[in-house]
Amino acid sequence: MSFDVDQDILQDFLIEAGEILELLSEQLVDLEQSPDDPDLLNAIFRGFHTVKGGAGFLQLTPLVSCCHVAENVFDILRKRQRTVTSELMDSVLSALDSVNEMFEEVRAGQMPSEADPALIRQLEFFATPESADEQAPVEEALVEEAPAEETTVFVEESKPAHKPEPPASAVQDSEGDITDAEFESLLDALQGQDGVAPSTSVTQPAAPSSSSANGNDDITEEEFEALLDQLHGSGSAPTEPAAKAPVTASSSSSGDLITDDEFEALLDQLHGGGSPTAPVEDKPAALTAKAPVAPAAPKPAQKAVAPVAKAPPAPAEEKKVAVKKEAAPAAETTVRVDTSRLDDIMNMVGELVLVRNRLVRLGGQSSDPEISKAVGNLDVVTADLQTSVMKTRMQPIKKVFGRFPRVVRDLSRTLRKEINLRLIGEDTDLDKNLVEALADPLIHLVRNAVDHGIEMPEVREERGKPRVGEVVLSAEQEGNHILLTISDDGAGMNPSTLRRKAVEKNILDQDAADRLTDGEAFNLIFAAGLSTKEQISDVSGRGVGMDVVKTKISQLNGIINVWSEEGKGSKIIIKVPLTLAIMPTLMVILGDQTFALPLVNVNEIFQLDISRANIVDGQEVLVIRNKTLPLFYLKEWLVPGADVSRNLKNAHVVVVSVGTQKVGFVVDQLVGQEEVVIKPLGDMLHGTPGMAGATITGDGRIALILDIPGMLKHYARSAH
Amino acid sequence: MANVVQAKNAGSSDPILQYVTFRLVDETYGINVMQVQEVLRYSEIAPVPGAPSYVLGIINLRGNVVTVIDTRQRFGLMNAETTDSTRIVIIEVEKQVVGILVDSVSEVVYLRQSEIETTPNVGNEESAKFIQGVCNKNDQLLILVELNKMMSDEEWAEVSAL
Repeated sequence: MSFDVDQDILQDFLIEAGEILELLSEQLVDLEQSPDDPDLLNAIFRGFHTVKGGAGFLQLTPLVSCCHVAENVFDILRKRQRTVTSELMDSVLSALDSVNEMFEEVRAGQMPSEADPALIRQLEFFATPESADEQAPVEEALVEEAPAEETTVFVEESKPAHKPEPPASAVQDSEGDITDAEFESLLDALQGQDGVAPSTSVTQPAAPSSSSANGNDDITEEEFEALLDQLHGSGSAPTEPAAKAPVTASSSSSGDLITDDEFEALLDQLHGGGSPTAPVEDKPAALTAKAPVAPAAPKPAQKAVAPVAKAPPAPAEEKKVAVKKEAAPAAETTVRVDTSRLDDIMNMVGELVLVRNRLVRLGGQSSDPEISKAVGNLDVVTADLQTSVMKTRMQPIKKVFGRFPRVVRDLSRTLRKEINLRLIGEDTDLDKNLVEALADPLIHLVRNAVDHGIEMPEVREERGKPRVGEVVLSAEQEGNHILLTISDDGAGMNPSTLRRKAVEKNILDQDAADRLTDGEAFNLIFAAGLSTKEQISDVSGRGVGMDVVKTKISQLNGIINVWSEEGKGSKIIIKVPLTLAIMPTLMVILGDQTFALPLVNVNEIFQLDISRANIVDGQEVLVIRNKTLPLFYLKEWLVPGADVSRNLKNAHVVVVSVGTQKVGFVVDQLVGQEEVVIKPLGDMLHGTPGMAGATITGDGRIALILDIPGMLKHYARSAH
Repeated sequence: MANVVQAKNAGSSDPILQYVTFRLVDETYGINVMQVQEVLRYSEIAPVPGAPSYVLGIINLRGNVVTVIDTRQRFGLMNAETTDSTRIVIIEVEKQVVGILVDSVSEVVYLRQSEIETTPNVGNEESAKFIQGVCNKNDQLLILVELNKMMSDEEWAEVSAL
């Protein structure tokens, strides 16, 4: 460790800031689409500010300075003193990249290295208002600007709620820091709005809300909510006179009077909240005691003024309140939990389910209606518990999708293409592990769609398509599966080209290639070493990517399919199970042991006379619907010393598919379909060929989950 | 018990060690109590096809899958039928939880470090590897097992390479 900080604080910072940085890259790309969105500008400003604050506390100076200039740039932007240009975006994005780099260094336990001074200079340039002649419209916009500023302050102030809550020791230091910074920005806001003086009153109530929120980490949610409500009450009162101000001076002055008093009271609170010596427990009490006092004064005033002030300012106010409400409680309702703890809970729930199953069986035997009622209840509750625990592991796929706008933007800029990325179903939830595992394959596919799929804008126009290509990334839940599609409206693929390439690269011979259907030909893109690109670029074209994608997806027990139409575009469909922890399986019995075959591999089940099996080249094969498939006796492989009868009149044959190949397995008995929780085999057995894990059946016994491709590789080869 | 504690405090150069003893065929073996998690009655062990020969299979230990090692095979002894006194001792070795199948578990004994003799050349080579020392107590020979070596060095390497 080259720098010495509290590891807990560092970890909190890494997690929190990591999320913010992820969000930032998303927001920056959004900003290019809508450069004038004040909320977005503020959100980005806030993001950099928060990272800066955290980094400053940990004394990561290079990180602070880089965030600081970026923050300044956005401060200028949100004050409308500069407009978003693509050059500006480029430097801001590279600033984000260097922040990310530094962040990685911090994660690796090193002091981050300084950012490129050229970049900093560039950012500093952007952080100054644009030339004087452009200053004029800013002046004009002042009136319009005022409400924007207000929201700024509101949103800005609610920020501390998002702040990583520093451990108790940190609270004291960071408190002063944050409040100072905020107070300054508040003052800025106040000065900036000199022309519209009364509206300053709006900003005032915001201040204590933030200071109370940040000064008292221990404040309960209810208290916080109550405080917020009270503040809304007091906040709305003065704005009405504000709107009224130019017309009736008397009402506005009375409004001011109240707000002044209020401001004093609020400042007191602010100090109270900020003083590190006061015991933390006392603060909420003191605050709640004080808070009612403040709004008490403006409330009657509001009533008195209201009839005069009338509706106009109200909607604006409501909007702001809504923004604030959204921002504050959302940040308070999450708790970070180690995933291993969740796994433990899952394990215990699994055990509970076993006990329940046993009880259900016993309850069924008992004639006492009370017992069966209780068991029935238990049944429902455990089922609910199980799904809730499963849900805690779920994350929206947004986590993966979020990085694509940036990927697409960068790629389209380097390739000089015009591409619009559309994301559908970002809120689809899936297992955390799955979210992480899907990231790489999806990036490959999106890069492919951008590089191979979408044509150059000129070419598109020639072909009568809109100049801007579209890549659609969508996710939806389909039963126990997640369906992901990556489609583009680009050039599509030509099946004959794929066939020709496959022959050229010696993947297939001419005859085999000719026999492929178009659909099968499209699947050739998953073969290693096949690329239709004549030239290798740094983006793609080596013919490795799709092979990796396919492997990865099958590791996740998923299926991948390609559809394409030349000139119209391509579509790649991925189907993966919702979670990695639970797997639908087909339970079979061999001898007296139960085995589970992953259901994704199972195609169909036959009952047939296997004495009719033919032997081709020493391998038994079956002819089913004019297709031959190799037949294996699972018992021979998995139950040592078992004798296998080859003359069964009606044997159970399970047809499984491995890649494009299908094989038949003869099993003793079929139990049925069952969703099982996968338990890893211990270290000692990890990597046993053909075994994917184990699971515990309803009666507490163990069933081994077979890894069919691995098993075939190991046993089918050794059998020869 | 009280004098044991006293003794422990008095002679730090000669610490008292606790061993769980179990029987295999006619011999009594001891394993350090700190490595023993629990002792289970025999429950059905599901064999794992393709596993190393010294692995009997896996059991369900309250929702966790635990590998069970065939101690007899490891010690070069003949296989035997399971009886009512057959036990599975759950041990933790180098952060791995494994079970060992034994004929019976007897008691916990207290031994002084000085009472433990280094291994005489007993048994065949296979079993000698796992023996930490022997102890003669009450006219009975107690063989102390070094669990870390229950799997030979290559096998450890094999495990950690995975």
